[in-house]
Amino acid sequence: MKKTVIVCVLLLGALGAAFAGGGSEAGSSGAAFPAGKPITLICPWAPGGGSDIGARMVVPYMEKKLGTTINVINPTGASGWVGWERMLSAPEDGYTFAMINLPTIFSGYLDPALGRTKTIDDFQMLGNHVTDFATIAIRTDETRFSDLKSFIAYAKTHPLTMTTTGVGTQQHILLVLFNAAVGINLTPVPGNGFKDSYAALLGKHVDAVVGSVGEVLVPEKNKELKTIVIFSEAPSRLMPHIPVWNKLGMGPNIVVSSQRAFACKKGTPPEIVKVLADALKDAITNAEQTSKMKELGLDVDYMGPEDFAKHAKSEEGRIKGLSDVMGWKK
Amino acid sequence: MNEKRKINNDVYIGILLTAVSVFFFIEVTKIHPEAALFPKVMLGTFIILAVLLTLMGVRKTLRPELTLKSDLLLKFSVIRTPLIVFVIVAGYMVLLKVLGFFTATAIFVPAFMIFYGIKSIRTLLITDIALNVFVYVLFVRLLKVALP
Amino acid sequence: MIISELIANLVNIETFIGILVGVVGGMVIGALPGLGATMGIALLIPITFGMHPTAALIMLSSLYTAAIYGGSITAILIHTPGTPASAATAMDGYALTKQGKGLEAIGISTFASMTGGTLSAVALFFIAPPLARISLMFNAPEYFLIAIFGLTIIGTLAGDNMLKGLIAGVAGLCISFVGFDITVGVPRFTYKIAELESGIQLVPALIGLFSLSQVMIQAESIEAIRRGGKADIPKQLQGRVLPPFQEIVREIPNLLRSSVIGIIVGILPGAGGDIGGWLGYNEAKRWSKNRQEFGKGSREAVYASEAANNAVTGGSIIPLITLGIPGSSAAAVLLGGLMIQGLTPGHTMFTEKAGITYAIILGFLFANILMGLLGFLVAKRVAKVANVPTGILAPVIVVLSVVGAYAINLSYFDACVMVVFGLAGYFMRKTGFATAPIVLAIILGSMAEQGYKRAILMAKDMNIYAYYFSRPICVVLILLIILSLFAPLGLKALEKKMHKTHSQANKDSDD
Repeated sequence: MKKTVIVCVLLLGALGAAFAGGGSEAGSSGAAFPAGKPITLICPWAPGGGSDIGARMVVPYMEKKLGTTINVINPTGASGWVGWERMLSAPEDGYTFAMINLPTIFSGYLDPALGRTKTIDDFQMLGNHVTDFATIAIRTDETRFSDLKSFIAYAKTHPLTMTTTGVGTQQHILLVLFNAAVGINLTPVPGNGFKDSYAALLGKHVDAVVGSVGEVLVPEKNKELKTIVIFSEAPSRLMPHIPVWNKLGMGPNIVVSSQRAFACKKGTPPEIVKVLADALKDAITNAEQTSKMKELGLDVDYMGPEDFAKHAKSEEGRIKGLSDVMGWKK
Repeated sequence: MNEKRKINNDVYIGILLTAVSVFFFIEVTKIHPEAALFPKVMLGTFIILAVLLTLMGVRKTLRPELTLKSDLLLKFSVIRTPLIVFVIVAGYMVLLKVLGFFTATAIFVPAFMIFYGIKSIRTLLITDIALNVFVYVLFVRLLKVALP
Repeated sequence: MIISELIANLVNIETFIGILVGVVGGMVIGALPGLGATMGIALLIPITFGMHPTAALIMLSSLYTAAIYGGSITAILIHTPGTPASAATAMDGYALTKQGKGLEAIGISTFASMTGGTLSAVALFFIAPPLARISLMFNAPEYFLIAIFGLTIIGTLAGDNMLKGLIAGVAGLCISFVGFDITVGVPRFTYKIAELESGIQLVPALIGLFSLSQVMIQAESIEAIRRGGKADIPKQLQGRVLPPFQEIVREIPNLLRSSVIGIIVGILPGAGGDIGGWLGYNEAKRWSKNRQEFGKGSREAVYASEAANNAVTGGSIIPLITLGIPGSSAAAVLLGGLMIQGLTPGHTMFTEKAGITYAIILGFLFANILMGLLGFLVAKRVAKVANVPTGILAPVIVVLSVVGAYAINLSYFDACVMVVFGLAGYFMRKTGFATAPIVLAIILGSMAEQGYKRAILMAKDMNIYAYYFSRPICVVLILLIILSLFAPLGLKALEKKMHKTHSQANKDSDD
């Protein structure tokens, strides 16, 4: 009996060991901070989505630089705040950092109904990765409208639905702003990420989707959907043919971008912040990474910790100004 | 414990579940009405089913021949050891928080085994070491999971 | 041209190692409680970075199917489903182990998993694009109805007390409401606890309800355990690994039906392996001649749930490759792996990149067969786990359950959830409440609610009932629900009539 036990346990152990041999080695670098200890990266969005892929793209380059492993985990919920609250409750030792998304992060605390006490000031910025502008897309076989003009005209007389990725995300903000600017009433149907929106559009369950360039680029290339407008300041480098809303003069200016950046907890020792920020800069400005991201429709737009912190603060002010339109009341 | 034999357990369970579901039903009314719709409907159903369970328990108390086999499993003499097991596991969870995973596990495994009547020091040691090594190799080295 | 490229992509040492690592790694990760296919794929993605796209994706998809199979091994031997997809297998598989037929049950599960996985690979190979188009016809209203249809399974899981089964189901639904509401974005039942905002996680709840409660149940026989024995499992293992040929022939309809169910569930983006296993189980029971055996060690049940959950794997890759819409959460991570390799899903996968795509599909097919062969090879050794004295097995199960619950999200809170559900599960089992309905309801609860709410928004100003009846698939689903609700009542009445004439006991007449 005892022998069987020992054999079993040893077998399990041997299997584990054999499997371990196949894996890569952690190996510690000389630097004091990561010291070979694994780091956790919180991506508060579903695996496989734009944010998640972006995070996983950067990770291997950062790992190489830091000489340690970075585990990506995806605690989703509360439009990202489940993950961010988790990062903010971890010790400020740099072993936990998170992907943060502007402007989604603001609506989590600017809406007083949610009763959140943490704000953007509780984050120590590490750098921006991607700036992704919002677009509106329709089906390619759509017969009721074919471009923005006919879409708006149709929407004025018919109720239309549009999928977004949930309350308070940049997609939702865009829809609210767009409705107000044009004087129409598109109904938002919340989904769990762009994949849901896209499936609902293709299946003719909704009339249009809000998606960022990174999300619509590949389906657009495959002629599965048609992007009719982009809400950026200048034409997109990746999709230059898409009309820019501000240049059309059809209503008040709207610019909605989603920024994917990385941050750790405020109060992390500056030398640790520097190690992380430098590794991030290396990873983001790496040419191979940039070109891979471009293929996916993600426009890499590096901003350092100080620049990005300034940018985030001004964005917060801008979103605060929208409180009335968004219906955030005291 | 002695009077319990007469009254069917379902009466107690039914009353407990009714109380819990009524409490949460009151809690639901504090939530945004649109978000509260589904929970309200389900908790309403829960209350009805719990009351029904209580009534069934009363019926079974009055007519013991209706009692099901599954109603008679709960006896203190039976559940005592499992409860001790639960306390040991809960203690392990606390140790985990205080001492970290590997120390806590190194203490918990032999302690639990001794409770289960295993006396051979060799078996204790081998299981303890093998399990810790296995978890270390698979989770920490290979899967890179940072254990507490 | 394409064929030579395909062969070059497929027949090389890197691909072979990829399949091997995927299958062996998947079986280990799947068998351990908590670690599932999703996590396994996510953890392997960084390793695939430097690999050839074909080898990388074959490795990831092999890991997916092998993990789903691996989950059944622990479900059968120690009542600890390694992944949620094997929860349905645990009931009958473990009952078989208790009868000393653990080895045979492993053999059945191996054969069924291999069949289900292979059939789904065949579907992927031949009819992926049209199937993906069909999947688009399903959306919120259909998901709501599928969830309701799934909930009717509670009736078959309830055991001898239907009322308590329903209560367990409703309790599971209420648990699924914890966390953020999607349409309004407000927290529910979270009591300012940050961890509760993403809801009660399925995996820790499942591990607690099934495996920790099992450890506690076994502890009741502490005297037997202290004598160095097993709590409730006979020492000797009987039977052979390979299922008898006649049995396989007899089970062909069951295997086919379960595989088709699995493939369809897999294709649907809103439903994954966990639901596939349950639906396969339920339909097998509905069509079975030996319905009363289900839950008490039915071989048919193991065939059904295991064929269905492995068929989900290939099914969920179908919309992933053709449209970029993953059919399950594990497939979603797989999508990440695909895109990192520079492969963008869409019809080009079947034209320009056909050489890579078909090589991946064939590799996936081989992986399923290899997984079956390997499973048969190691089954005898693996089954010995059931022979380990409880005194050693119990602490090992507890430690692995805690690590597994913790590791999904690196959350101590999740591990605590597991322990609490363990206690709750034990008391439920002691008071006649089945635990399976809770698990099922947690899986289906949010699907039902989100589907319902989105359907209302999608209906625009149309009457919601008219909207449902304007959708053909909805009408079919409504008919199925009505059928599954009322058919058992009729059958039960019939059975009861026969039962009464046969035996003296009238115990079933309650409720």
